[in-house]
Amino acid sequence: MTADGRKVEILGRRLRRLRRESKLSPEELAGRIGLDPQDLARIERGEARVGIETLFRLLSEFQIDLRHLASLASDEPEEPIERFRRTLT
Amino acid sequence: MAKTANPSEWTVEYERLRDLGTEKLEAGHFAEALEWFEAAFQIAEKTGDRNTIDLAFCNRAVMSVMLKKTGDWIPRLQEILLRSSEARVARFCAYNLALIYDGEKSFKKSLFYGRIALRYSVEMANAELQASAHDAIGNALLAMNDFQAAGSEFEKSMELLPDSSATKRAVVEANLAYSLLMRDHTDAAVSLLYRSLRHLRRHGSAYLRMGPELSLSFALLLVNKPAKAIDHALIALEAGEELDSADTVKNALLIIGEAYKRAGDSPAARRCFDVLQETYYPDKPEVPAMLLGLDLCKVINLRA
Repeated sequence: MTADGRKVEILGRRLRRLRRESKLSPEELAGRIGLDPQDLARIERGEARVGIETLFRLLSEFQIDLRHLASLASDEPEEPIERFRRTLT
Repeated sequence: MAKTANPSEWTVEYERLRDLGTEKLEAGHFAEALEWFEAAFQIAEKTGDRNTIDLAFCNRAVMSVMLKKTGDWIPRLQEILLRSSEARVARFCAYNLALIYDGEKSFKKSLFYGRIALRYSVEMANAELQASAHDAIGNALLAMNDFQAAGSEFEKSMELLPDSSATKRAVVEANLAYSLLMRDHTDAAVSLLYRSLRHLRRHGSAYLRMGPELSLSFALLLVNKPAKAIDHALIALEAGEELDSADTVKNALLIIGEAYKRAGDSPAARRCFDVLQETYYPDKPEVPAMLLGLDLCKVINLRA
């Protein structure tokens, strides 16, 4: 997989985590942002980029804060040890 | 024309009006195109020929949908497609349904009708019509993130288009370039986009140049040339405003903002994202700040 492909995959994984933290089923989230559930599943698996409409709806839906976004923009997925450290601060 | 004209004279008049409409359509002047197509439809009815009337209706319907005119356009096109035994009519109907659904961002439906259009084009053994259908299928696949399959469709389209259709070739070439860009073949994409635009600047309308300019600006961002990316995104932005293409304007603003961000000018980037949000997403004031923290090139598909 290319570096770009990995970043899309990271975004997808984080979206899935945010959705689960929000206790939303894939169907519920897809309904809220006007997406086909199959398309949402592809985004979460990192198999799909999003159009501007979906991007705005996703960002707005989760009110993702800047700390989340800084890690979204990074190359590497968050390591478990970093996640553990974060819980200590 | 005299009210007593015979059917063949009405047909000549219909074709004249249709061609005027097509000229306006290719220039991106949709309102004027619709006027000509409406006039052509009225004349088509006088010919009494079912196929001519159906073809005239297709032209009128696709323009009406693009201009958001209310009416039962899609069901009537579907009815013609089911009813017509004439491959030429069915193909035109299916092709226009593919374009309409693409404009409405219903890409699976667009793909479905694009494939029907291709089947009829093959039946008619018409290479140029097959090329248009492959292009429509490719565009739907691009939007659905299937870049490999989209690229294959554009390549088939290029193979079928004669050298004499240089402007159509340039449009398909730009689509192929975008599929390459999404598959990380950035250098090949940039070179194809420059070639396509060289032709379209001389022979194409602003409408045809708008998409390739946007794709080139995105490609230039990916090769870390933000200043050049802004130049091309501004050209697309201007064309989008002139031709009332909200999608083009939104994506151009997004690219310009991202380019300023990459050039280290965060305040300018923020202003750009603010304009985008205030104009098109007034209920989402929280988003511009988020866009500043996100690497947009890695997540966005301009064609989705």
